[in-house]
Amino acid sequence: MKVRLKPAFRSRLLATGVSFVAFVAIVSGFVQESQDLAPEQSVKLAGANDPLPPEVLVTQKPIPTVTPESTPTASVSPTAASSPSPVTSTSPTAKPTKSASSNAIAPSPSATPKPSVKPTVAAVPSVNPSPSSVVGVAPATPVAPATPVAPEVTGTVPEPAAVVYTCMSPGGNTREPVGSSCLTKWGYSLTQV
Amino acid sequence: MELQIDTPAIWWFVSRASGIVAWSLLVISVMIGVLLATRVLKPNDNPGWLYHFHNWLSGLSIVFVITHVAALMLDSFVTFTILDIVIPFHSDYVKNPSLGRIPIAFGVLSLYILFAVQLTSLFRKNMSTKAWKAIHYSSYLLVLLVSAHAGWTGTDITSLIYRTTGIVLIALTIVAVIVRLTVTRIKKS
Repeated sequence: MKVRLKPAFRSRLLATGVSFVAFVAIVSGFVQESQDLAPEQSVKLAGANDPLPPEVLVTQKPIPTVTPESTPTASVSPTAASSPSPVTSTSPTAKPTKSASSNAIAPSPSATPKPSVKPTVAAVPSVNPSPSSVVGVAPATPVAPATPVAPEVTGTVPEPAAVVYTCMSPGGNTREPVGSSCLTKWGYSLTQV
Repeated sequence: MELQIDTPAIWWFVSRASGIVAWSLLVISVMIGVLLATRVLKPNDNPGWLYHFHNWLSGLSIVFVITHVAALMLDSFVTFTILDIVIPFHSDYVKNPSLGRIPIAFGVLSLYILFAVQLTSLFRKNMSTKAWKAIHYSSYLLVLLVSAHAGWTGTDITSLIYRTTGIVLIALTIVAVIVRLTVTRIKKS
């Protein structure tokens, strides 16, 4: 049986069909694009990424090798001062100066340290033996110099606050940065927490 | 390949896609309206068909505009509240800092004009032709605002397909306006 459609109805049906097919095709295209490309690539293709300064590309904070000169001797108890081999106390929380850490993305707990990453000049660790870090210092006693005793750290160097960046959408939603950039294609921008 | 659809993003995709389709339908509807008003294709045209098709496309564009707005509200990437959608300059979504909130405000204003044009056409018999015509002429402003909204807010502005579509739609609008003005002037003279 041949179904005859009125020209007006046929054109309406055609317009509706074409519109919905176009709509579904565009949505499929977006979904396909988001699946085919890694988020970082799609951002680059969109031309909307805002790369961070080179300092920020250091995703893992460098583990500084602290020399004995940079170690505040004041944190060592006076009994160790007379030991035959000088025992140095390295602070495990020694971090680069604030100028470098203010631009760094806080590493995620699962991040593995990259040995190739070298700290920039500004990121050279320097521990300031500030007077505030001198805690519990008593006058040295020259009476018993023979027994070396393990250093007794009585105070901790105050840890500078880590500056963390996150991706924030205009609506206030947050996401982890992808590499060193945000999905600005979706309206996200790098925001300091 | 692992198939993973980011469920929050699907509404974002739906919103973008419906916006593009609605924009296209509006432009085609305006073009057909111009053909109907000017009768430039006379005697090869069918005014009845043009009239009903013009109405149908306008109604279809409303459907896609509602989808566009509803998907925006459902989307979690760019949070839009009902106030952001009904009050111009209320949304703090800024795509281009130099333009600020203007592109989104254009979208909100377009929504009002679209509904005004549609409602006055539905109740055309209950109002004067002069008033109806005055409101109906704002369709040109509507297409202009929608084009600016799509161009300045459009996330896919860097996409070649999107750009091509946008340029074609704007070119069609310009042609429609030129035809409308030219034929009206000729008829008057």
